[in-house]
Amino acid sequence: MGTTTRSSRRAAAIACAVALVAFLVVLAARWQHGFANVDDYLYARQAHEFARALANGPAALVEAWRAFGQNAPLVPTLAAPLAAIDPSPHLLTLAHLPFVLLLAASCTVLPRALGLAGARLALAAAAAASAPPLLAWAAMFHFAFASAALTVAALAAYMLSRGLRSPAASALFGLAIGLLCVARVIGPLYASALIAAVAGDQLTRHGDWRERLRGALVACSSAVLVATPWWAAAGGSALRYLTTAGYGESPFTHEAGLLERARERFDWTTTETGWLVACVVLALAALGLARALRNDRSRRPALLMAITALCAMTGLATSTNAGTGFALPAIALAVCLAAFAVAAPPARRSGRPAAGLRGLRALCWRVSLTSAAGLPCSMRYLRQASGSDRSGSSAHPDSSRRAQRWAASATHLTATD
Amino acid sequence: MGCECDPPNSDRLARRVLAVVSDKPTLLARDDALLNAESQRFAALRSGRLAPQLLAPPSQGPALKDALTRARYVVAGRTLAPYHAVDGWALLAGLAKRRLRPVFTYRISQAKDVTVYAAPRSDRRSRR
Repeated sequence: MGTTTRSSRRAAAIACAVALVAFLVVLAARWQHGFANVDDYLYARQAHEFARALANGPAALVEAWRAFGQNAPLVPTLAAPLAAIDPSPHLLTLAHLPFVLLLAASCTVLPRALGLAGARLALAAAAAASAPPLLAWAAMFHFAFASAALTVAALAAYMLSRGLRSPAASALFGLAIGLLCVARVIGPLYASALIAAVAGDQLTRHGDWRERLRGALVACSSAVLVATPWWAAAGGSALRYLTTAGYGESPFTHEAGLLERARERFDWTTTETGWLVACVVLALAALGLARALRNDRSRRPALLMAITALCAMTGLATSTNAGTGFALPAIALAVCLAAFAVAAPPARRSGRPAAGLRGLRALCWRVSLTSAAGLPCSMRYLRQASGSDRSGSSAHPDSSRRAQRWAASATHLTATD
Repeated sequence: MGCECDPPNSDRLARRVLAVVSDKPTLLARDDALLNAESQRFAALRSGRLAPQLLAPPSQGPALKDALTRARYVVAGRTLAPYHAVDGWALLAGLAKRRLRPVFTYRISQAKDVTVYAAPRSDRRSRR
């Protein structure tokens, strides 16, 4: 047990170090470009207002929450001390540092729950925590990365709680859920996906119901305690924003059937991630899930991860608002499963691993390494956000679709043509 | 952007546009990830100036005419990924009718640029 804990700690330390270095590379690339998009500027102003409000006491902070009721407060509040020095969004991206470390630590817990240990655990955790589809979002002063880190952290805390039997880990699980609800306005959707998966897990467990009930109460209490103040102060405008921007008539939404919405969500997510990387992650995640399901010990954690990701994507597919990094929490869980597939020892069936499986893994390894080597190039989002990418992908909600429509009629407005 | 070039410095562009329009009523008829209302507000915050009076860009029709009448400056230009679709021909006609002149042009690439138009001086004096 002692050796296992030591090896897990070593793996977590390695994952944190690798993620930290990768984060610094991403930051350096961002600072070099000197480009910020609309979200960066909006949230930087929000952080600046929060910094001023914090200096004037809690009442002023509640007023600031209300003034920015459409935007969740967690990341700007964390960035407020930095904003007091300089409100530049380039500097405020440093506020992602705690989330980078949290993601790295959580990415150690999940593969460990799937049965990895030692060097393989360290490899899986480091690969997941520094994966370009996730870390590229840390370059932007935005809420997507924090939401993804908190979703993975919540699931990690649940796994540490041994099915809500441990009160301390259950409190951590509740804390992560509460923070998730104030990390992004659509945070409750991710929280609902987590709760649905956890509820399913609890219903299929037997025994120790008193301990588990106590754990559930502890988790609920800490979640409510953390999330209530902001939702009580600004929940009205947040809900209004959610319903109008998500389901009402707005420039970000359009009429579409359920299947069409699901296809659009999948299409948008793969466009944001990059088709090649998305296909590799999806193939590896499916491989990881298939391998985890064969083992009694890893079946339950793998199902929890897969069901959470699936529920989150299903929830997102109810709206036609493409959003910015909406699917990142689901991608983070897929990346963890993919990392497990890469790092897990070869499956032994009748003494030898299947040749086809080995071939697929080798191919995925090569593509993963190629994409990891291009981590600074994952600043591609900057070009997309500036509209330079002809595919029309943009960091602004739904601007891609409008861009495509608009580009077709390419209106030239200037007299300088 | 029409090229494989790096994105331009958005802070600098926002500052330069703000230096032209200052806190006067401005119609933002061209907004995208590079130049938008938030970048203008942030530039004002950063430089300690008053926040610009930005008029929401109506797509077409009488609302566009009304906005053009009220605006002292109009930020226009070409972009591949606009946040608000504005009827370009109606805007051009409105700019010509009101005799707005280009006072600032920033070329980003072959297919992207920013032009700020100003109302004639007599028009500006009459609305003081």
